[in-house]
Amino acid sequence: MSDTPNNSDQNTTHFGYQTVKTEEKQEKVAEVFHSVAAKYDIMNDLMSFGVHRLWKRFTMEFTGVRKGDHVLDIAGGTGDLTMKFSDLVGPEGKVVLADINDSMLKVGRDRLLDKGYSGNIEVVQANAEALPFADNSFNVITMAFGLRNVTDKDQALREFNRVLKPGGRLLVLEFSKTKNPLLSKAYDLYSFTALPFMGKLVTNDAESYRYLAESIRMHPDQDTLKGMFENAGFANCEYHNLTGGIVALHKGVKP
Amino acid sequence: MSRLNRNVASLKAQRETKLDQTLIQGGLAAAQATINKALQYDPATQAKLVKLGGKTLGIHMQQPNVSIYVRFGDSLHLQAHFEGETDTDLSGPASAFINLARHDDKQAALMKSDIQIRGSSQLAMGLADVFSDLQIDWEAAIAEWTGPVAAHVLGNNIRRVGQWFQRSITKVKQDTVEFVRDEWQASVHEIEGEQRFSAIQKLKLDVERLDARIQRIKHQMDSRK
Repeated sequence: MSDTPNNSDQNTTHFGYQTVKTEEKQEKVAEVFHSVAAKYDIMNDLMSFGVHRLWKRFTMEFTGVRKGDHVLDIAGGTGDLTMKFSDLVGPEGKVVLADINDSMLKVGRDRLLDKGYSGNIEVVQANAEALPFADNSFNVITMAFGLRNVTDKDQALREFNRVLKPGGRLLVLEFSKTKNPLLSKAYDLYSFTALPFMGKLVTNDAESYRYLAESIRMHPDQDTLKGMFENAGFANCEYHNLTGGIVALHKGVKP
Repeated sequence: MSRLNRNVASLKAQRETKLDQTLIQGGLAAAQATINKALQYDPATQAKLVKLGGKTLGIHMQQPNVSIYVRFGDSLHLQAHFEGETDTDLSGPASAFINLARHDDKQAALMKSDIQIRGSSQLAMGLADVFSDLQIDWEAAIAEWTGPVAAHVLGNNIRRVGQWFQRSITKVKQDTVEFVRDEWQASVHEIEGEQRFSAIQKLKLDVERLDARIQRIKHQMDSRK
């Protein structure tokens, strides 16, 4: 099963604006992130003018993480949130940095080690659609700018629900849809001209950043994603728009 | 809905429009960095704050409605939102908080202010005491950029200018009071004013005593009937 658009006869899904076979999407996404991993952090700062740090800061406020907690940072890539969690949970807690892409994980692991983070962090290569963790393992799960790359988002959300402890919370930070027509036009212009240009300049890979812009447009909007959270079994689902709705933080609690 | 009602509703919506969270986070991040940087130049205060590690203070201002949460640890962390229970909450008008920040004796100012304390008053009072003793070594901050000798010279000059401004402001205040009193004759001398107010207070007490006496006589007459 995969998310819309879906042709049930051919079992296809979207990869940006392209339609591809469902089983090929994961490989194509993997190629993108193998290509961008080395310069991922620089590009994040360049593309968002550093604002992604504020979006992640906002996310941390909703986690309610305390000393001793177990946290899963899925699609955690280069470890931005993992570092913050490591400080908060303390030596009695545990943070799992998980990502399906080994290139991103290597960059993340090396970055964490360079900054002196290791004791309470575990690095795991994992697919969000089939998490290698026992039921009721984590107090908090965060996924920052990763859900739009998942082939079967509903399955991933069900997996998150499974591995969360009762009362645990899921936070998904992701690009979303703005309702402001002026902002929307400016955002489209920026996404489809400036981002591929920056990608070409910095990483010599314009296509990966074109996929980035396209995948954002194919991601569900705020209310649709909230509905998906509810279908996956989460309660008290809510979302908060950031930067006029360009980014949204979705939250759900496992009952 | 009439046109007037639509206009009122629109104005209300504009007033209630919340600031984008990105901007709020930017402001908090900048304030946090500034405060933590300043605290680095007062190690004694910083050490006292580290002892509060694990505690959270909620500051809820009205007019404008702003809530900020302060998490204590190795450094201060400012947040716009907090999941969980705070140890102490302070609520009150923004003007009361500004007044508190300006007062040297913060404990006394906190007790006299309109700020309500919920939760551990010990934390609130402790913080007021800590910040009353705040002494930031500005010269050390400048020395990071200019070196110690230049920082000392610059620091002396800034202190001299600051003292001159302080003296000038005090002088202007005194001269204004004297001008209003002696030239315009629009107010009385402080001693005269105090004497007049004492006389009014004495008169008030006398009237109250007389009223009490009248009430007693009235009561005696009513009981004889």
